[in-house]
Amino acid sequence: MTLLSVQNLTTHLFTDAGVVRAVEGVSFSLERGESLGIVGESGCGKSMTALSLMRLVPDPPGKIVDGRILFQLTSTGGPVDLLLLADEQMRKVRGKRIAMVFQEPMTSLNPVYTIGDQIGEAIKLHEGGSKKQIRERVVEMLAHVGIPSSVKRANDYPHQLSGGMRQRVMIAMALSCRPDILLADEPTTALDVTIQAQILDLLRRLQAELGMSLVLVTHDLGVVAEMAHRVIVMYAGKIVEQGTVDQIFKDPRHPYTQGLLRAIPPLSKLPAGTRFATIPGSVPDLARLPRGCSFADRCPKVQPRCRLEEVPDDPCNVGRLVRCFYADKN
Amino acid sequence: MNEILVDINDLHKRFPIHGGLLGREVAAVHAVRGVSLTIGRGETLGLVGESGCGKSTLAMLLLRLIEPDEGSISFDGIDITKMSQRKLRPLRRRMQVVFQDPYGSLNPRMTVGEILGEPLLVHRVVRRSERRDRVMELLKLVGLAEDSYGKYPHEFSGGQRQRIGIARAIALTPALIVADEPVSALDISIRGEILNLLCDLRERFSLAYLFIAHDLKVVEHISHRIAVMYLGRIMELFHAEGLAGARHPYTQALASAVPLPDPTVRRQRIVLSGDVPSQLAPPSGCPFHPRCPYAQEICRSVEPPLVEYQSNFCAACHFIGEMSQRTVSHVAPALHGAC
Repeated sequence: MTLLSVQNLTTHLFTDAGVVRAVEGVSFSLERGESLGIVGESGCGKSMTALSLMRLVPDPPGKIVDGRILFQLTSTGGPVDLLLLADEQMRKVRGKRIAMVFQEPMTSLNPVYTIGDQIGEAIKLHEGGSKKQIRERVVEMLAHVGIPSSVKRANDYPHQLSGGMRQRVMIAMALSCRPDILLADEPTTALDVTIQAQILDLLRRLQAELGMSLVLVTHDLGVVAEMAHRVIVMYAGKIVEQGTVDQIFKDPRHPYTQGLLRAIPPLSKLPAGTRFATIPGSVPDLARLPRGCSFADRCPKVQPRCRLEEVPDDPCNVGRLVRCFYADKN
Repeated sequence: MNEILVDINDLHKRFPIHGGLLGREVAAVHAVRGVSLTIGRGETLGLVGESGCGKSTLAMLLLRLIEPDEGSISFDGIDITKMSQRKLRPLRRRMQVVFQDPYGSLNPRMTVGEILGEPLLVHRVVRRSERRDRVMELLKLVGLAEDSYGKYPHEFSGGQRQRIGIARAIALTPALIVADEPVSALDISIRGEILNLLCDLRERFSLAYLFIAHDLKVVEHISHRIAVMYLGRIMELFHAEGLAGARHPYTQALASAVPLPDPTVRRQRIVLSGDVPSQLAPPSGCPFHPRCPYAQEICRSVEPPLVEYQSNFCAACHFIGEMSQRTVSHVAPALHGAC
């Protein structure tokens, strides 16, 4: 069942330097229990897309200027456009039905409250209950995310915990109201690899147990390959390729996706003298996007046509979104 | 490559923590505990470990930016452990550093020309009239346009800024560059370019690198030898070609924790439980024993020495002889051929 359907989502930032087209006509859907990976480099619009879904785009300078976010709010009724909800109604969705985990576990926790208080706040706000009930729930959530001696730990302040533990607290907080969708924005980027492995295992386990959908925003293709069912590749505010995880990794059709995959250090050591594959050039200025395909300046296969015409979603009819005129030949 | 450029012997560094009313030493972080390493001329030594393992402290000790408590450091055959800063100065030309953060390590009020010209001026390597030419030459070497000369750091992207940092490091034609997480802050498409640049410069100037990173994969490709650090100690030291054969349980866990960009490989991962223990209260015996899946009684009490268990492989583990090669082998996917 389609839980979330995003249509033509467009978020712009109105800055002194001009209109930054951070998210430009992004459409995708999310099924119940599905994991969707959103990948791209810094400044490609992936975090802005996640913030737009929560209606948390900083305003000013940001504004969602177009699109619909259709969410299955009740199991019986039809989908509701989150962008049309009143602020008060949106607050009931945020945290309760769609929850978010941010990259920086240090700055997203309040240093002057215990972690128990902070997790309890979300439960109190959305579900209510007596102090004792909330407390029990908090301890249960902490144990659930693998924090040892959770009764004692609930009284700790954020600075008493390690980075990995803080990220577990963030996850416990996000999951405390059993949301339908968890948005995780680079949840493991600030962590060491061994801790990253723990957190990814935890997310996978909790997702299976709670049957929730996961939107994972990351720049790490390795993380996506392990976690996602479907993948969206973003470049300069637009989706350039969309497909199942197998399609993206085994049959990438967009030159940008192909470049990203080639740029990952290979599994075995390169022979001496060989060099890493790269994508020359840099991401274009989102306030001054060139005409036509935004990747044209860095594309090894660029043709004159790419710089003249806007590229539609699937110009070559490959059966999924590949924003390239030559997707069938790549 | 056999000639030794850097020789570190049994180096220790403690950071005392003062507290209480009288500001007495109440505890100490033993950041580097008895590390011995060598770096050959033109060799790249990769140094890997999780945050807080002491890898950056070791780099700062080597550069004499902080003072060691015990042990010795020699550079190019000269003992620099106790050398005065004044005497050290001519040697500083020959050891340079590239930092992780290309935003924080460049002065925002100086133009690129000034940033790159300053070391030349301070060390009086070129005449004033020749300085501009030398800076231009450096810009070309690291792949920056000539008009970068008059620009300020904020006008560059992260990758370009790292190029400026590298140009500054090679300005004095050093023999050793300490690169502390030089690509960790960069996007993957840029990362390759910077690594390639470091490789090119290494060949051109026969540079030695101490390449510090937390990403074992990146280190594997650029290094000749790899040292794995944990809680201030070297756990394993081996030739980079042999990563798949490295047997220390910690190295294996680190290697298996890297997510593979291939959805069909469902690797059995060695997930370490728990966090890195606090440096304030390091575990007795082998520092890794609380997280080690193979820990025995002896590991809790006796600290294993670093011994060669096979040619080109040294490890600090009581049971290294019983560890099999990587329990789960990497299945080489056809990914890179497919693109």
